[in-house]
Amino acid sequence: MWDTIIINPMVNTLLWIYSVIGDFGIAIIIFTILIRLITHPLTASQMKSAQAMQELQKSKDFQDIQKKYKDDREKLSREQMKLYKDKGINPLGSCLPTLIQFPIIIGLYQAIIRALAVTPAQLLDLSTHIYPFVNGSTLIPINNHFLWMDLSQPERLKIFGYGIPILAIIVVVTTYVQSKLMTPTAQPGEQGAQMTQAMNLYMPFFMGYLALTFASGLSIYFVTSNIVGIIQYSALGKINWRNLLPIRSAQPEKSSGRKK
Amino acid sequence: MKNIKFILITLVLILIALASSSCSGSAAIASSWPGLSTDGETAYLAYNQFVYAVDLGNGSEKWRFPTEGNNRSTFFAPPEKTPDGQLLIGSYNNILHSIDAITGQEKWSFTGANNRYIANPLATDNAIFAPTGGKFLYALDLQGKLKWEYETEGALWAQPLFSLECNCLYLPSMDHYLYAINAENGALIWKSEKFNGSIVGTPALSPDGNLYFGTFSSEIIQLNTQTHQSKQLIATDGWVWGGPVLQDNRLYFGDLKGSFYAVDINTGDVIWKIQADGAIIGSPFVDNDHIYFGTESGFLYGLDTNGKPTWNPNPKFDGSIFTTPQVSNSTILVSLFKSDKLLVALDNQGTIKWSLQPEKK
Repeated sequence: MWDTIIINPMVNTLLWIYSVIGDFGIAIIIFTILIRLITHPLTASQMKSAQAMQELQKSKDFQDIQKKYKDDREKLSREQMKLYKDKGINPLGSCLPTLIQFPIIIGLYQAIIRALAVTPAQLLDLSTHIYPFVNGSTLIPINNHFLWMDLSQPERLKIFGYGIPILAIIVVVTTYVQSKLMTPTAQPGEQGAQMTQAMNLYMPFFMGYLALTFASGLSIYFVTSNIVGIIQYSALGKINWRNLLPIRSAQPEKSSGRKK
Repeated sequence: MKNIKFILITLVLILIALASSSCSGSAAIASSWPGLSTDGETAYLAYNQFVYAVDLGNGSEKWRFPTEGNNRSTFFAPPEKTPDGQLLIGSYNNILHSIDAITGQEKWSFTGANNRYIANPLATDNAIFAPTGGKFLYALDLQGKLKWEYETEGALWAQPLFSLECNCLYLPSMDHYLYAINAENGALIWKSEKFNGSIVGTPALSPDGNLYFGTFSSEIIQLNTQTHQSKQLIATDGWVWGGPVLQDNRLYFGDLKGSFYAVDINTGDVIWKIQADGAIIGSPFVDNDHIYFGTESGFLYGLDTNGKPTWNPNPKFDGSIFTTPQVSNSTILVSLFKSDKLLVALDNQGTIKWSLQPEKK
C-alpha cells in the first residue's frame, strides 16, 4: 500500500523529470518545489491557524480563563478547548500540515534510494516499479553525480584533504533561519514560548544530523524545501525578519523594595 | 498546547526512527544475491559476510573466509579461480582478495578500487581483470600488483570476455556501450555505438567473430568485432540481464518477463521459446544436451536443447534463483536468495542430495 500510494508515484515522477532535465540533482529540486506548491494550501492554512491561536492566547478572555483556573488543570484545559471551539479555532490546525510533511520526507528518501539503485538487487527492485510510460531502460543507470556530490552517499566536500559536510551545514543554517523567520515573537511567560525556543534550536541540529548521515539527495530536498518555505511565507507577508536579530525580549520592571 | 507540541516532537522522532530503520543511510549496507562457482570438487559461494568453500560430495563446509564476519565487508560477486589455484573474491567494500582455494587463507588483497565488486573478475594465465561498480576495470598481475586501469562512463556489472585472437577484452558497461580493450596495456581498441539499454551480462563470441549480448532495452544485439557494425538480432519480451550462452550456433537466454529463448544466430529465428514462472535474471547453464536456469519465483527449470522438460514438475524452492546454476559430475548446484538455505545440490532427476545452511559463528 505504501509503495503503491507513495513510493511508486514519487519514483516515477522523479524519473520522468530526470528524463526531461537530464540531471538527478535538479530533478530532486524541481520535485521538491512541486511538492511545496501542492501542499501550499495546507501551509497557508497552517499559518492562519497559528496566527489565530496566538491572537486568541493574547486576548483578555484567554488570560481570564488562565487566571481563574490556574489551580485546576483539568478545568483549565476544558475551558480553553471550549473557547477554541467558540472562536472556531482548531488547536491541531497548526500541527496537521506539518505532520503531513513527514510521510513525504520518508517517501522521498526511499524514492531517491530506489531510483539510484546502486546494487543489482536494488536495480531489479526498481525495474518492477517503473510505470510503462516512463522509459526506464534508457534512463538506467541514473547519473548519481550532482555538483561535487554522489547523491546516493552522505555528502562530503574534500578541502585540504578533509571531508567537510557542507550540505549538512547548509541544512542546519536554512532550517534555523526558516524557523526563526516564521516563528511569531514570543513574550516571556507566554504559553509555549520555551517549547518554541527549544524547537527552533533542536530541530536544525536534528535535521543536520540527518543530512550528515543519509544520502545527499535527501539533503538537497531539505535545503530546497527550507528555501521555498521562506519564499512562500514571505509571499504571504508573514515573515518576521526582526526575529533574525539578537534583540533581548522586554523584561518586567523590578520593584526597588523601598517605600517613598 | 504544550502537550500537543510534545506529542508532535515525539511523533517526529518515531517517524525518523522508522525511516532510518527501513532504509540505509547510504548504499554501503546494500545486499544482493549470492555468487556461485565450482571447480569440480568444491563449490565456492559468496554471500553477505562470508565466502564458503563447500564439498561437492556431501555439502560439508570446508572453510569460510573471513573466519570472523563483520558488517563492513560483504561478498556477492561469484568467486573466480585462477589457473595457479588462487580464489579471487571481490567485496562490496572495494577490496579484491586472493585466497588459497584449499586452505581459505588470504594470500594478498588489492585495495585500489574506488567502488564495490559486483561481477566476478576474469583470470587468464598471467593476468587478472577486475571490473567494478565505479566505472573502472583494473588489470593486475597474479600477485595482485596493478598493471593498468581503464575508465568507462558507467558501472561495470559483467565479467569481460577475453579473446586470445586479438589479445583483447570485450567489456560491457552500464553506460550502454561495449568496449574492446587491449589486454596488455589497457588501451582502447574500439568502442561500440551507444545502445538503448545497459549491458550487464557477459557477451558470447561466435567463431566468425560476432558478439552476442542482451540489453535492458529488451533486445539481443549482434556486434561484429571486425567491422564494429551492430544490429538487433531479436527483440525480447523483457529486459535481458544475464549474458546469453552460445552452443552449436544457438543462443540460449532468458528475460525479466520470464521468457526463455533458443535463437539461431545465423537467421535470428526463435527456434523455440518457453514461458517460465517468474523473471529470469542469471544466465542459463548449458552443457551439451542440458539447459538449467532459475527464476525469481524459485523454480529450477531443466530442459534439453529442443526445449523439452527434463523433469515434471520443476523443483520449486523457497526463495529466488538469480544465480546461474552450476553443474559438476551430474550434481546440479542452485544458490537461493532470501531463503533459509544458501545452496542446494540436486541429482539429474531433481532429487535433493544435500543443502547448505551455514552455522552462525
